[in-house]
Amino acid sequence: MNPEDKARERANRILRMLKEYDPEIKYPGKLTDEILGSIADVAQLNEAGSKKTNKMILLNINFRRLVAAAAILLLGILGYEQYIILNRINQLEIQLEEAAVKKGAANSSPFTQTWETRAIANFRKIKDSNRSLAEKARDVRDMMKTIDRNSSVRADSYRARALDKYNSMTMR
Amino acid sequence: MKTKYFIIAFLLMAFSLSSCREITVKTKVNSDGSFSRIITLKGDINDSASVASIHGLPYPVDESWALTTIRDTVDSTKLICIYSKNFGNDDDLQAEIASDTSWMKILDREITIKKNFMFFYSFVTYRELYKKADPSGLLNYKDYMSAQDLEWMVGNRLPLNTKDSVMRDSAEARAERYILDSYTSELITSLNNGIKRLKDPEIQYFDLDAYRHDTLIAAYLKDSDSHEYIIDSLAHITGQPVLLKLKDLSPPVFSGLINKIDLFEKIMMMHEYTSEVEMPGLLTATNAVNVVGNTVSWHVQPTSFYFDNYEMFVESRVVNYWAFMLSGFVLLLLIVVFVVRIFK
Repeated sequence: MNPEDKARERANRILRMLKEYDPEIKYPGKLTDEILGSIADVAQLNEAGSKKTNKMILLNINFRRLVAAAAILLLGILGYEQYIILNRINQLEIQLEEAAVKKGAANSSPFTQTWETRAIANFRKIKDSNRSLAEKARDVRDMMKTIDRNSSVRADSYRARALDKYNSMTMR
Repeated sequence: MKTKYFIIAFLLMAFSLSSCREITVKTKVNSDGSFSRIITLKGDINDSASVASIHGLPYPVDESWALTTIRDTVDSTKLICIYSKNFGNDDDLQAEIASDTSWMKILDREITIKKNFMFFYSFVTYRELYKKADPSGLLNYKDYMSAQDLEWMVGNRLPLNTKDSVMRDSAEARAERYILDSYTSELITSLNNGIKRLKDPEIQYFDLDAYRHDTLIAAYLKDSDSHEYIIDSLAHITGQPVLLKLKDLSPPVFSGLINKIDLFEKIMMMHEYTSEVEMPGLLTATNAVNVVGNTVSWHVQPTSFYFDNYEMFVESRVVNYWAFMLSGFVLLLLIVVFVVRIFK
C-alpha cells in the first residue's frame, strides 16, 4: 500500500467515526428558540435591506455623543449671551439712575417690567440690606466694647474705693 | 458788522428758543431693521398752513410721505399734523437726506440702523450722528469750555436750583466768549489774507493781530452790514491809510467770512425738535437721558451739535425664537436618546 492509499484510508475512517458520533445537547429547547430567533432577524434584515432602523440610529454611540455635545454647546451659548445682556442692562440701569439724579427725577427709573431688571434690583436690595446689617452689627459690637470698657473702669474705681474704705477702717 | 447780532441771535435763539410749533421726529424701529418715521407738528389751529408747512423741518419731506391732520384732543386750540413714511433700511433714509435741497444739506448727518446677530438674541442699534457744525475752525472750544459746560450747552443737564442756574449762565458766558473770539479770529484772518493779496511792500509785514482788541471793538460797535466801516476804523486806528485798498479787492475781502456768518445764523435759527426712537425688544444701551419703556428721546437744539459731534445712540436686544425652538428640539432629542438607551 502506497502512502496516498494510506492517507485516503485514514480520512475515510475519520469520516465514518464522525457520522457515527451523536452530539449531546443540554438545552435543546433553547437552541431551537435561538435558531428560530436568528431566522426571524435574518428575515427582518432581508426585509429592511441595508437601512438602519430609527432605534439603531438613536443607539449609535456617535450620534449620542453628537447630540450631547450640541446640547452642551447651545446651553453654553445661551448662558454667555444672557450674561452679556444682563451686564449691559445693569450698566444702563446705573447710567440712567445717574442721569435721573442729574435731571432731578431719581425715582423715575423706567426699567421695572422685565424679570432681568427685577432680579438685578432684588440683588442690589439684598446687597444693600446686607451692607446695612453689617454696619449695624459693627455698631453693636463697638457699643458692646464701650460698655465693657466703661464697666471695667467702673469696677476698677469701685474696687479702689472699697480698698480705700478698707484701708481707712483698718488704720483706725 | 454782525458780531453784536451774533450774540443777540445766539442768546435769543439758542438759549430761550420758543417757537410757534413743536416738532417731534419719531422713529419706530422693527426687529428686522426696517423702520417708520413719523414727524409730528403741533401748532396753533388758526395758523394751520404754517403748522403743516414742510419748510424748516429737520428732515426733508416730499409727496411720498403720508399726511394726516387732526385736532389736538387735549388743547382744542392746537392742530396736529403728522407726516409718516416707512423705510426698508437706513440707506433709503440716508438717500432721502442727501436729496435735501434746504440749507440743512450742509449739516453732515449719518443715520445707521443695524442688526447684529448673536444666536439666541440679536442686537438692534440705532445711531444718529450730527458732525460738529461750527463753521469757524480756527479756535478750539475746549480752550474756553469744560466738559460740564458742554453738557449744559448740549442740553443733557437742566437747571434745578439757583446753583445750577448760575452754572448754566457761566457756561453760556464762556460759550459766547468762544463764539466771539472765533469770529474775531475769522475777521482778522480775512483781513490778513487781504493784506497779503494787496502785495503792498508798505504793509506786507503788518501784524494786524496786535490790533485784535480794536478790530473787535470796531466790529462790535457796528450793527450794520457795512464791512467798509471796519476797514475805515482799522486804517484810522493803525495809522495805515494803505489799508483802505482792502475795499477794492476782488473777490471781496470778507466773502469767505460772510458765508460762514450766514451758516452760523442758519444753524442758530434752526428749529429745535425732539427726536424719539422706539426700539423693538428690551433696551440694553443708550446715551439718552429720557427713557420711557422702549422709547428714548433727545432734545436736539442748535447748540447740541455746534461745538462738537452729537450722537444719539440706542441699542436693544430681540429674541430669535427659532434658536430657542432648535435648542428645545436638541434637548428633547438628547432625552429621547438616553431613554431609548436605558430601555433598549
